[in-house]
Amino acid sequence: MADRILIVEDDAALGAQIVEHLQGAGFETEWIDDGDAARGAPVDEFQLVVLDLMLPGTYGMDLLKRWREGSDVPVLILSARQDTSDKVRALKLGADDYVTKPFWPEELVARVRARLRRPDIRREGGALAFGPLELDEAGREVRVEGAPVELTRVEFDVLAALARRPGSAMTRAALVDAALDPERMGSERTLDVHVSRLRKKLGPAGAQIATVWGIGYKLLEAPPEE
Amino acid sequence: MSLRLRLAVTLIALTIPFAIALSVAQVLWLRRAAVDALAEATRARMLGALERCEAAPERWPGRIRRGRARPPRRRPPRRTRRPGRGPRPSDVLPYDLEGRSARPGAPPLDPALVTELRTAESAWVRDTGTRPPTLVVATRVADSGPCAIVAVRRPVDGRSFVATLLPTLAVSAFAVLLAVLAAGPVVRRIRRLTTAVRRAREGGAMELPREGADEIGELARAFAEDRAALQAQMDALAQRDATLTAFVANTTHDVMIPLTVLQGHLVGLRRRLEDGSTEQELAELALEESDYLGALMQNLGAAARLDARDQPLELGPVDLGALVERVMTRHAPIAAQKGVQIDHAVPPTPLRARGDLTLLERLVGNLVHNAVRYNREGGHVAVVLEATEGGFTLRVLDDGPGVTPEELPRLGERRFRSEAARTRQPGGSGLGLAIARDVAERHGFALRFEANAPQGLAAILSGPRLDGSEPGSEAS
Repeated sequence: MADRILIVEDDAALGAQIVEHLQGAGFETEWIDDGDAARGAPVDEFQLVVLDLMLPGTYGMDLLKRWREGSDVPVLILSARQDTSDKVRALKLGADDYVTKPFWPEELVARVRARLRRPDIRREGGALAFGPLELDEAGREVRVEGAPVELTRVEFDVLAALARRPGSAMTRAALVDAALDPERMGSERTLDVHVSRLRKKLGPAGAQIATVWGIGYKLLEAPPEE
Repeated sequence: MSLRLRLAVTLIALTIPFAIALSVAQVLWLRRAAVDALAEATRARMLGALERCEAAPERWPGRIRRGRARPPRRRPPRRTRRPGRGPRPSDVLPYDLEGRSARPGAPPLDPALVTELRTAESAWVRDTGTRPPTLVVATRVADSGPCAIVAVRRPVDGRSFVATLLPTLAVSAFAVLLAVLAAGPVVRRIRRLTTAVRRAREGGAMELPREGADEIGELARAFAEDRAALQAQMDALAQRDATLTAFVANTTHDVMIPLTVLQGHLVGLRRRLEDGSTEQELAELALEESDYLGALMQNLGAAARLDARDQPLELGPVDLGALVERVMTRHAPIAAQKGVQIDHAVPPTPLRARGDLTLLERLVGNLVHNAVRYNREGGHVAVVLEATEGGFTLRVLDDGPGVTPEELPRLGERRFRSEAARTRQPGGSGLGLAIARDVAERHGFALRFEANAPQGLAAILSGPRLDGSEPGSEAS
């Protein structure tokens, strides 16, 4: 079932665009263009609220305060203001994030998705799954397409560190800290050699360990499309 | 009313009643003294004359003089205390205790005097029935008999009050005159001060007479200080006004260029659509231009805030990791369109620094914006946030064209804002880097630029971080 998003936006053109882009991204939307009507909105029936602070009549902060009295629904603020105090106040009142106007449709969708991101789904036995790749950190086991893969301690530690935050890049320095023995020659060059071997051993899942320019590596949640 | 006139009027209004009261008191005191003296003289005289009077009260003491004063035949035994004046000639008449006189034709004694003399040794009354009015002083000299009371009549001197008042008035008038004359230099100094203040108002320099350690000198100095403070404030306001006017003019100019370019792209795009073309280039250029326009507006807002130096930064705990992620989602669409790969790495635990949320976001946003904008297709941008000993380091790396080693130290140099804003050529530092540098400086963070091997630019921001337990910290 698609996530439902409430949009409180007084500007007709902007409201229509937000609805269009969020629906295009697969969300169900409801749009309220009037602050007074938004006052009594059943916010708990939604997974997220997009609130424009510049609503005439009802100051967005008041809405936020009112909703927060009885609800923990994530609220994403749209702000056109340059002053910091406005954003800081909204955050203190319980807003979860903000987007400054002008914003790109993709930017808004990305911020909404980041708010709705669900915890990783673990398979039985606490193993993590990324497409064909499975990793059981406690059992120190790795499978690709169901077949176990033998890894050295360093290779396993590198993979486990990346798997803790899939999709996020890790610096070489952080990976060296996480996986290499500081007593021995733990350089970033050595790390690259380990990663190269790791990729070969993972076979079809090897391409999921992506090199990130200027940073290090990251684990893709699925093999990249050719 | 001028100061001197006011002074004179005030002095006159105060001294004349005072002089009159003084004179009245003096006259009353003198009369009292005269009455006492007469009574005393009468008693002294009657010590020897009482027997003669009682022997023949109808003839004592001699002729009756009425209406007109005459010098006495003998001088009184004592002089009164009024200097230079002897007692006036007077009529003396004997009365018994009931106020009856044995002398034929003697006027009756005022019954009030008779009553008063039952208890008092002497009494007096003004008899206004005569011309000029007379003063009647009656003295009890015996307990009975036809000469128990002796009344002495003396004319009242009508001029004596005025004569008493005149010297007092003369002294008062002289004092008023002196005061008015003495006020002259004071008034002249105040006039000079007034002239100087007026001249200053008309735009001239304020040359105040600063001499004198007194109140006027102090006033002049206060005026001068006030004027100086006011002038400084006005200069600052004028300066600010001029800056603002220039800012608005330059801003309008700066915004109109990308807006015109954007409109041109949109018109070109419509024409292509009409022709059925599927070429995307113009749409991409329009998107890039509007991205530039948005960044420009935000930078101009930041510049206005930074230029208002009297406004303090709105400092608070800022989650740098969340900030980096926000900036990256902001720039991802344009980077994807340009074929520039952007990525970032932040520590798994929140890393906080004390700063102004909006301005720090501008700083990082400008660094990323520059790295993306001046890059080419297939290029890379990486943002790395790392914790260091007690601080943080944020690196924005790219493999774009970079700058020459000579230009490197000049990046982000403060230039005339609008001039910087109009520098839209690739490689030009522009307004964005100048603001990045300003924001870093205002926060006490270090921002430096290095060449990124083998090519490109590295912008490195570093500063102190906050401990994780800071209250009121920003949500991610």
